[in-house]
Amino acid sequence: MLLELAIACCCAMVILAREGRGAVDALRLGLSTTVCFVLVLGLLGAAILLEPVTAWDARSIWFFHAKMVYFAGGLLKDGGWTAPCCLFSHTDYPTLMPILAAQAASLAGFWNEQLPKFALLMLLVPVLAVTVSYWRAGLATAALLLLAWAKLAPLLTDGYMDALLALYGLFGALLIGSWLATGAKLDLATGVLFVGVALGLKNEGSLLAVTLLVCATPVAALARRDGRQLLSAGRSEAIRFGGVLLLGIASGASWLILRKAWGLHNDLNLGLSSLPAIVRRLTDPEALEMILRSTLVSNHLFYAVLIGGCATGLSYVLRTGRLLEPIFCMAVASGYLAGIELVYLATPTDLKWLLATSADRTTVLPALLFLAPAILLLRDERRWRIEIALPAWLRH
Amino acid sequence: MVPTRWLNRTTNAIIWWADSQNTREPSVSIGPLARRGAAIVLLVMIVLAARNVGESPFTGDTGKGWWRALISLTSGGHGRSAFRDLVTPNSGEQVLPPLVRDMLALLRQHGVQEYAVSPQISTDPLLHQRIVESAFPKMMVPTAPYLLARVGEPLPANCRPMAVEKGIELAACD
Repeated sequence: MLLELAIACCCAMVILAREGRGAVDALRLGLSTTVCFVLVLGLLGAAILLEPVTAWDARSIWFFHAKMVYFAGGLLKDGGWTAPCCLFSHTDYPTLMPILAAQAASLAGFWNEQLPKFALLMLLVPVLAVTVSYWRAGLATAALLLLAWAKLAPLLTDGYMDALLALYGLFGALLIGSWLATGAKLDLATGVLFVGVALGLKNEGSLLAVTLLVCATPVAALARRDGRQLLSAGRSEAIRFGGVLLLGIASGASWLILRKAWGLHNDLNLGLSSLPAIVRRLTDPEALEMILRSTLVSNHLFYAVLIGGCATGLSYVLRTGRLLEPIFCMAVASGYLAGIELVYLATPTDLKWLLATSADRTTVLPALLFLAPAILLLRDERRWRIEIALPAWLRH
Repeated sequence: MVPTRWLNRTTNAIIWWADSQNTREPSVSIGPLARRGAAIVLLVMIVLAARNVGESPFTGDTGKGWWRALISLTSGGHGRSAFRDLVTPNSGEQVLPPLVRDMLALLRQHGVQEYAVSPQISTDPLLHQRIVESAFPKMMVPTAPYLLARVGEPLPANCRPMAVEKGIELAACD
């Protein structure tokens, strides 16, 4: 396991050596940004590392899988993944966080209930770095993002993956949206890597990736038709993008192959066989009401939908100039939420129990995506224009 | 001042209606201070409107607990012991249910690597899942030579009691 870490460190050193001063300068943050970064990371770090894992899924799934990786010395079939006594822990779930947690324990040389949580802290660094990059957009954006972090803090420290998935999904969508609007390649590369991490965090990461692909493809195709080249046709550019894409999906894809080889299946067993269950629930007003109440009303997600709609409308009225981005985020949020609703419609398990134990967590990502247009509206504050129709006698 | 508006053809194609604004009357733009004020007002409105988003009994309780835990961790003796636990092997097991800790103690004292559990333990998801994950790499195997049962629970005919730890009994089975 230490080999992978050594390879990653070598790659980082090679990039730094090649890019030289430019790379170091790019990593340099302003004083206020650095203070904020360190403060937020320190607070979250204390809450993460100084408490043992207590939350149910964190113990029964994520850190149990980490323990399996740690004691087997790697992601090996004999590590308990197919043992009947371990199947309750959904051994088919993605393994990015368990592998990172096992690495942390491996470096320390022992297992306990606190130190492997260092993986959660590691996963927070990239999203926090992107968050502070929005500081330059202004105080209002920074305040809104900080409040979002404060609200998510309990879910970021308890060992569940939902809030992490939500942050990676939010910034993945924002960065890909930014690439679609401006053609900035760095935004695309970072966005793809973020979605790659989301793929390795939870099964919902696949839903996010598909939704982003479905929403981004027509926009990119239209841009190409209009002669706006979002992806350069150059060979070296294609190789670079291919490398980033490969790096992004490597973790998720390799686990998909392994779990198929080991015969691990998801208990929801989604597919064509789910159609009868979907039809049955669609024609059952009680089930429909239960799903909509749990996913939209009980957790006030409809407020986020309303805010997203209003912010998109305001972006149009205030002529922020990059209207494509809020519309893209709203489309991704709607598509993702529709996917989540479909999963609830198709579930073979007890719907009431599933909704009661998961709806508030699975809707964190769509809530953030629906709030994204508000973040973009505040980010583009310097471009706001208030249109006033002037009387005819004032025009001359 | 007539604003210059960035709108590419792709955006136009997707949101065709957006272009209608270009044909509007001449306009004026507001100054930076007013814009900043408007942004702050908008921020306050967004925060007020969104304060309940994602709020549920689950996240609400966890949120309060999180702050309390953070304050208590950073302000006293608990913080010092938490730092010590961070670098101590097998620490943090105090969060496990007492019966699970009893089971762990018995398994460790007797060097048991494979164990089975009684019906009472196996039907309780909390006890069942917690012992499987906390005892790992010791494996729960139905045919194992050792059985963990609650004190007072009848043992199978082929098992004889070996040791007791508070509420849990360890039995050896043929």
